[in-house]
Amino acid sequence: MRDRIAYRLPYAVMAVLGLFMLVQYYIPHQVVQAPRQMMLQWKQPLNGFIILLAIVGIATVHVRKIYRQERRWGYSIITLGAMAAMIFVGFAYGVQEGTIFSDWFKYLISPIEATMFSLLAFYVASAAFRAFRARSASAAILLVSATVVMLALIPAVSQNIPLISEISAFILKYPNTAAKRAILIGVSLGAISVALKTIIGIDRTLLERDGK
Amino acid sequence: MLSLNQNRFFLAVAVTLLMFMGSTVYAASVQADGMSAEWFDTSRITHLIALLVFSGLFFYFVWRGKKGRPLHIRPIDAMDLLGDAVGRAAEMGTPMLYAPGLGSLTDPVTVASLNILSKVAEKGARLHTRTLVPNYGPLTWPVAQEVVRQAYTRAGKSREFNPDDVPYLTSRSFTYAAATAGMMQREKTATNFFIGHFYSESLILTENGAASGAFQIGGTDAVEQLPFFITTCDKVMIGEEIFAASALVVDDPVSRSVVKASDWFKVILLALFAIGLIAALLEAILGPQLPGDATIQWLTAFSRGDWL
Repeated sequence: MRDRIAYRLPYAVMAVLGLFMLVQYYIPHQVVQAPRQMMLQWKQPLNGFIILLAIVGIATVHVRKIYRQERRWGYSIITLGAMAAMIFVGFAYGVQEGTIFSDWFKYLISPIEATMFSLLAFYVASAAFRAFRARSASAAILLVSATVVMLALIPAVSQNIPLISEISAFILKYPNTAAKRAILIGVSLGAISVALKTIIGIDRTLLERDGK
Repeated sequence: MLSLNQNRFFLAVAVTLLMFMGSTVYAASVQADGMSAEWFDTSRITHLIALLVFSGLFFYFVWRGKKGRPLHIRPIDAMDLLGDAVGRAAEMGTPMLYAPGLGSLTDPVTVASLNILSKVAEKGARLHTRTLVPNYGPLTWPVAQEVVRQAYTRAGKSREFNPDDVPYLTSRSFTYAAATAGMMQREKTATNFFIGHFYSESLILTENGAASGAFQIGGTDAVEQLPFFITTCDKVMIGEEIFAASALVVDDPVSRSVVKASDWFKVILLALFAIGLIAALLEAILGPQLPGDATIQWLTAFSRGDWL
């Protein structure tokens, strides 16, 4: 009996909350909107627990690596040390502007991430080189239209050859927008399908137990 | 009619009603500043009609699926190659990498991606091939871990499951990209899957995989990232194909019916677009105050809910 309840309760919760969220979209009355706002407020403490879960997860993986002295376990010490240091300075001195936490974030983490972001330029160049080889009719169309759009973004070209800007604007306004909207319609219908499957319990992958 | 048994469905409806009663009491006890006293948002009537039509098609095809009537679904290239992709990793004796994207578990595309992950991990487990699943969302991570664990159990290889293969990495997108790219390079993954919602880091992920010579299957609902996927992946699922694939990996008639309902709804939408296009052409040719203009006005009013 307990097993049956444990198995079915998540589905019941999903069905009820799913239906509620569906209904609230159409009913602006306070009877529906007040509990909705309350539920949205519940998300804040839940997010806190989720972050705690993530910290425990990272710590567990790396402590295990160090304990078993797996390959590259030295990096795990650095990871755990960095994590502990950030948590310590965050709690001890606060996280507002001008604190050690904020400085470490601004002068260590942000530049590292900016470095990764700047690498994108090289990856784009390498991907573009591969994409712009006109091996088929569709690749040739891609090459021509991409060249036109890129040229139109260069001020010297767009000012001297207005036709380029007009063709570029046409490409972006009509074929590009049409394709984007077609994809978005498909995505939205797919999302509704997944939501309906979840609400009525057809989709069970996420709540499987014992491989069933 | 549904796979959800009727008792459970009625129970869900009953609990919903109870919730409404509870919420009424709650609403009476709170300040209702700025809240509406309207019972229906008429501007959303078109959304409701669309939802009801779609739901009608959905339940009709689910019913047909339960009856066991055959349904033809267009093939999805990337899905047809799923077995080959897993087989490649098994032959090369290296792991696969499956990135479920940077979306939250509340994004339908992430749910669809986890469904596909379940099948990939199961096929991999049967061939003694590890599936590495780097996670971005702390909420997605335990679910992904459980999905892979269940896949190993289904394959009868539950002892081979290693939770460290499904780690939580970080919730910073470029840090995630760096860590995942490092994982690909270190483990020399033979097959990479990038299925879910991605942002600007998508090219770093897929280009690294392409550079390492891995066979790559990508799929995203992020329109801006699709060109990068098409350029760097061997097969790509465009937008809705992810949802179709997630339904088709579960080889049962009910799941196929869901895809069929989506397809038929698209036919209805296309018919509406065609009416709009013809009306616009008529208005341009014959001028206003004629059938074309009237149809456009009616369609516009309908889409805004003004016709009520």
